[in-house]
Amino acid sequence: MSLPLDLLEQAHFLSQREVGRGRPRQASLRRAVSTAYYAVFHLLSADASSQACPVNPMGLRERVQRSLAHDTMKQAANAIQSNNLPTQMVSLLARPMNAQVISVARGFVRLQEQRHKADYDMSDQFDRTRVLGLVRVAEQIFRDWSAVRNTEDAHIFLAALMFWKLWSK
Amino acid sequence: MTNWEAVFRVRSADGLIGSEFKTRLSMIQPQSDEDKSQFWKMLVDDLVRVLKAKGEYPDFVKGYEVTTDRDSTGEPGLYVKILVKPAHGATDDATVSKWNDFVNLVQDSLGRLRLQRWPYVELGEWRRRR
Repeated sequence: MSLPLDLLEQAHFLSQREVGRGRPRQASLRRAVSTAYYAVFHLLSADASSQACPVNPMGLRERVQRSLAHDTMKQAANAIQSNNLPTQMVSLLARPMNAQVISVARGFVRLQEQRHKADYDMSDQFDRTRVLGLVRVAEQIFRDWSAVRNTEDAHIFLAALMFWKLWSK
Repeated sequence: MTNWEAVFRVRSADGLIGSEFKTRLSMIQPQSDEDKSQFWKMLVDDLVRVLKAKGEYPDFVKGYEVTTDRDSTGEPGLYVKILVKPAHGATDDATVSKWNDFVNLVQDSLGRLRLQRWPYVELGEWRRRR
């Protein structure tokens, strides 16, 4: 399996740990959320770099993937989910953006925000209900992305994840 | 309060109450006089009232919490936690998907208001005596 799918499987596993043994451990829940986000992050960033770069020279795609910034991706996804797009993007769209691409954008924003809380905010206690919801969001993103990843709207979305800082000026 | 505007009334420290004025929800700036927890709670209460009237407020929702904070990028955020009955054992995917559908509905409804605080809607476990 690929890294994103492996991470998704791990997130699911962690979200189900300690079932029936009282309260689940915060470590399991927090790692489940973080892993679910990184499953989606690697899914999208790998496709974005593949779209932007040829296979050769070896290592170029990985270098480009490494340069993707979480906050820039979040800003792009936020704009897409709220249909608050700059002219450079609107002129590429023949119609309203595909609903599944919007769903991917919305899920990405939700997961990234919660990943930040899971990793850094110890005042915020996670419960299993919240974590099951987030892992489910990641699973839905994988399904939606599989259906739309070869569409024009998905290509525009991937480009926005990379170039948002330039496009939003 | 309507979907797009809120009505405010100034109250001075000595108890005098001024006249009403309307402000667009999208114009309410973080850290302004109007940017109070009570206001955001009222906004979500109003949204819930609308959803109930439209029959779009499911039985599994037992309550909600509303808070404000900075988000992970330092921008002002509005956090809404939708409280549902805890999942003690294995919860089937369809149930979790229904929860998420409602989260998305609230998220999209708040997003359409173009608030200066970005809305983040999340699930949480409902417990008695919260």
